[in-house]
Amino acid sequence: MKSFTTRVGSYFVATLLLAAPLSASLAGELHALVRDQKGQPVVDAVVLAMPTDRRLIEAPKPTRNIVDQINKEFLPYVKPVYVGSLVHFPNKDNVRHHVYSFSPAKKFELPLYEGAAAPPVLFDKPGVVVLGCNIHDWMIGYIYVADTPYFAKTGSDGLAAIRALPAGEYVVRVWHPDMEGTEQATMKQLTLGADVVTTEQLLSLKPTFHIPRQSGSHGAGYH
Amino acid sequence: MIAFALIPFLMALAVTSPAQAQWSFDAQAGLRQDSNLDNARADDILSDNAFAATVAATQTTFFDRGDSLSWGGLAATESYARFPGLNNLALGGFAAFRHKIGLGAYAPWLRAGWSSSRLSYVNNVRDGWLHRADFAAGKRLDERWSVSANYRFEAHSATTQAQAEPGVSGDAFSGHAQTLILGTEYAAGAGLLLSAGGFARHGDVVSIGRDDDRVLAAAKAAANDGVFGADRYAYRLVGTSCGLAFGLGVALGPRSRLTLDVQRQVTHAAGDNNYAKGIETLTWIGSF
Ligand SMILES: [Cu+2]
Repeated sequence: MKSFTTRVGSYFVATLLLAAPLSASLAGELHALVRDQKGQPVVDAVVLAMPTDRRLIEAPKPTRNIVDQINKEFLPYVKPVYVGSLVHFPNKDNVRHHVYSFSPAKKFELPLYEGAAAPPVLFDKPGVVVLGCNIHDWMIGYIYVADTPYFAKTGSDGLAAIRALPAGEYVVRVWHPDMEGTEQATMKQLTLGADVVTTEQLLSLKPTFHIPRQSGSHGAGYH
Repeated sequence: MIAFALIPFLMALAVTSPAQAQWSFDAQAGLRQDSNLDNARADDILSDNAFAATVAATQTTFFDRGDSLSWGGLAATESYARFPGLNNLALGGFAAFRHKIGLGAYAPWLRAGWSSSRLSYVNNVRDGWLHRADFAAGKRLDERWSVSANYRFEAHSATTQAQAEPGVSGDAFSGHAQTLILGTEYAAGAGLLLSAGGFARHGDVVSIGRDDDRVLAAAKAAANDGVFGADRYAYRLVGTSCGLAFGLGVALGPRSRLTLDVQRQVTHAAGDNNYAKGIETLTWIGSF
């Protein structure tokens, strides 16, 4: 087992650990651990692997992509999807929501609806789509439209696993809504075979603040 | 009266509208300290503490562009420590229409509102109606800052009129005033909201004092006032007040918060009846 450290700018430190092959299967697996500048695991980071040879990209199995609205919040907070995917926005609250985005990657609006009344939205351009609700100012969510089908999102342990990767050369990068610097600065080259490759990424997160739920400006119409 | 007349109309509008309405219930309870409860000069100044509570039911209907119509009813009560004659109950209705200019959290908004309350005091010369119309505009600047401006017209019509001085109206507790309020809010943390504002008010004020010919000459009305003592008169004067207010709001949970408001104001009223006061309010607010 060997390890080395690369430093890109002041934001990014990556440690690569090559583990022993687990099986003789043709598909590899990438395990990523994302930590912040304090060493804490980062939740909701999207780890992406783009094959250098684009012919390695295989159409993913169709999945139903869902961004729920529960208790006047988007769930999940970060939803990665492959470009060309449809996303459903079911409303599980007993109040209506009005979901919208101004992001260049997808401008759309689902005017006031309840239940599953809103049609799915097609995300046909790679990039970050910031979600909002026109009624509940504090509601915020992200759809990351990936240009590769090989991606995974970190859990609260900071771990993400991308499975069934065809053997080959990859550029691995990470995105997080609060990251300082660019995705490009996190890029690094990896060779994947029929084994498990573990990579560790350190992201510098900037302090972010969201509109609080209890801000008086949307208050009642008296006094 | 007008607000109650409006309610069936608004209900009909809400029922026939394709938009869905939702009810919310708010409760407030708190303590208020007023350093100059009787709006008096130097020697006549009297301070008091009051317990105040309000319950309100609001129905809000949202429309497709983020506009909303809200209306409802409220009951409010105040109970004073030193001057129980001021203890009162207010029952009222309110309605407001809010229009968003554009989409999203940062779209500017406009609001027009109306409220009417029936006021019943232990000292019943103050009983009457309080009507308010207000027009407001605001905008969220970023995740933390928002600003608003509010113009309010209010009219208080007291029902009982007792003439105290010959040739001078006894209707001291009726009156009207207009107020301009400029305010800003800053979210210092997820559950910590700071606010600051300034206001200017012009219109009738009720100032309580001893018999004073100079004040009486400037007064639009005067009445005996049993609340503050047998030797005190209530004078209705035209005055201009300016003030500053600072607030601190702390979230106690998803449905309740505690607010502390501090207000300082000075008033220049007819008859050179100038006075200053400070008001501090500590309020618990719950939303359901
Ligand atoms: Cu919403």
